Amino acid sequence: MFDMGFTLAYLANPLHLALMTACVSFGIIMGAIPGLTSTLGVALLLSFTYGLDPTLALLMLGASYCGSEYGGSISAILINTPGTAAALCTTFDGHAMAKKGMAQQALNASLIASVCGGIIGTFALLFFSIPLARISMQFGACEQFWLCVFALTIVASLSSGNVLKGIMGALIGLLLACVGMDPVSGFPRMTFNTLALTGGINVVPALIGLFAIPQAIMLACGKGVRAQLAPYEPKPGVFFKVFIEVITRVKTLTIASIVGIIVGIMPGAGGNIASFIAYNESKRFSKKPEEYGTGCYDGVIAPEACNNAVVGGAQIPLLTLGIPGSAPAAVLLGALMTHGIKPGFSLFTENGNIIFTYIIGLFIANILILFVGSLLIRVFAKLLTVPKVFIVTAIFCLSVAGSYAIRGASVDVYTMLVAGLLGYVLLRLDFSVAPVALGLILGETMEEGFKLSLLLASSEENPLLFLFSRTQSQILIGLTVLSLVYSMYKENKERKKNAA
Amino acid sequence: MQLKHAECIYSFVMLAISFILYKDMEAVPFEGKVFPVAIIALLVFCSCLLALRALIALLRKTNTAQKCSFFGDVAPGKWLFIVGVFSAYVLFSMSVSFLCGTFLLAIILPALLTDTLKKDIVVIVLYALGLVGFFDIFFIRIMNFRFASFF
Repeated sequence: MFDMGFTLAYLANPLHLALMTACVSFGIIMGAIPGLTSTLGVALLLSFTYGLDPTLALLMLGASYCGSEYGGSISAILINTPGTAAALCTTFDGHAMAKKGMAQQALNASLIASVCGGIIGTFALLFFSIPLARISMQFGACEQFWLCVFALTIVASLSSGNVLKGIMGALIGLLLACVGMDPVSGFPRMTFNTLALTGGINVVPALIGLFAIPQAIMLACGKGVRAQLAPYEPKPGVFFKVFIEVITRVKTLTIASIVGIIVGIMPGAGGNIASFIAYNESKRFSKKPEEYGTGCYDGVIAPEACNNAVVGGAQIPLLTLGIPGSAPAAVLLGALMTHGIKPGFSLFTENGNIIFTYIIGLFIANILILFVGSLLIRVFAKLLTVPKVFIVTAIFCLSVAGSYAIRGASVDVYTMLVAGLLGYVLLRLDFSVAPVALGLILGETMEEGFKLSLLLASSEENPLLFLFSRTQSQILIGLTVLSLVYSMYKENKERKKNAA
Repeated sequence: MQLKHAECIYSFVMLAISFILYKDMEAVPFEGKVFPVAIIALLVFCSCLLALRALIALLRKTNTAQKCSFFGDVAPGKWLFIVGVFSAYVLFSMSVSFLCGTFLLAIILPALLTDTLKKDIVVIVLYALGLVGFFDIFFIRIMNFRFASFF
């Protein structure tokens, strides 16, 4: 078991607190720069922790992971470009708020929601690890596939009034995600015998292209390039007003955090899928769903609370079963193994001091995000006061550097360029680029789940029936159908109300 | 151009792309192409539906007021210039030198987009130097990324 005195003394050590603060800051900056992901941040930091004791190493990596999940929202709000794929949904309302002159409110709301989500996720990790780990064992390839289908139902709300175009956008994204090697059998598809395409289309450069480039082109082509990107008038006391706004939205925070924890514990899913589901579900349960997408607090709180709750959720199968629930959790698994710690149920009994200090340290890391984040917000928000022409140039340069930084491959930069032009064309044709991005994010996971299910069912008479046969799958199918029927019912009711 | 015309063209382009992608997968065994083929089939169905919807609207002359333009309210020359400069920057920075490309872009783009060049030239040069400095310190020295370089 563990010694509480040791844990408190360890976490109160000023050196440890200083290192955690530095790692939280590093994580936030990594998350805020489009192209630099939380996985990359944790992986880069890993090499600095080899010589440290395992508890401190884990605390530093965990602090960076929490920080980067929050950091992604900063660029999503300020320049409409998600810093990480999980922050994509934050662009819908966060940037809309910034354009209305509420950037300070949006940035603070994302910060407070991230901290709340992170604390709830860590709470689940501390108190419900064992039962939740047992639940995670119930999820297989079929459920992975159906979870993606469930996440796709957000298309209906993303493209309200133009659902056919939304579905087509999502299908284009799914098709683009299929380019390259088949994840199960390894056959190259849709590559036109080009070596560069064999590795597939990387999601992050494509996202940077789809969101940042059309925006930058339109800003550069528009009139008044010396003007500001969006109005920014900092007011005193905004933090406390936003704090009240966030904590009084208990329903949104709860739905988003629960979604984050549950999707987080499912291996292979992660924050990218979770934030879409959280946004969609909080909109569905909202009394004012029509406000979503126009710049409302709930639209920022839901994805941000969710993607930080994923941090705790993803570590439940990691620590209890040795199965990482997300990509950064996989790097954490590497860190555990580097330090000679074997994940599993025995971890909690044999290395109790290390693991409980780490989990309690995650609470502190989330509180540190609140302090570091509120300081960094003031610096980042100044971006809005810079003339547009300089911002556009910086977006172009950062897009190239961020895309290249992912794998050090020029093909990612060209992908970003092509995706940017595609995004521009789609916007001009009255298509939303968000469903394309959703398809791209979900494509690989969805295909993998589908293929693995078919492989598992290869001995069955009708392998396709296997996809529908498991109880867990049926629950997800039921949720998908319910979600679609409820969306249609609500839209119909709204139409009748407007007609009257 | 009417939005409905654009939707028709878009549907036919999607059908053509779907056909090309399907043809490229002919040599791939069934288990490798089952998922993408299912997506292509759905895309073809949706494209046909979109084309049909647009054609019916055009024939009945309903919902035809909505227009769309590739350049929007932007001068085509300016649009082509911005896209050209950005594409040239991507090619230059990936094959010749990233830092030089960034410096040139940070000078050229603001200089050509601002109408008070003489007044702003010092600010633009300082901005370009700052941007290159940031990329050099953060991406190259700290993060250790290897970009194309003269040196």
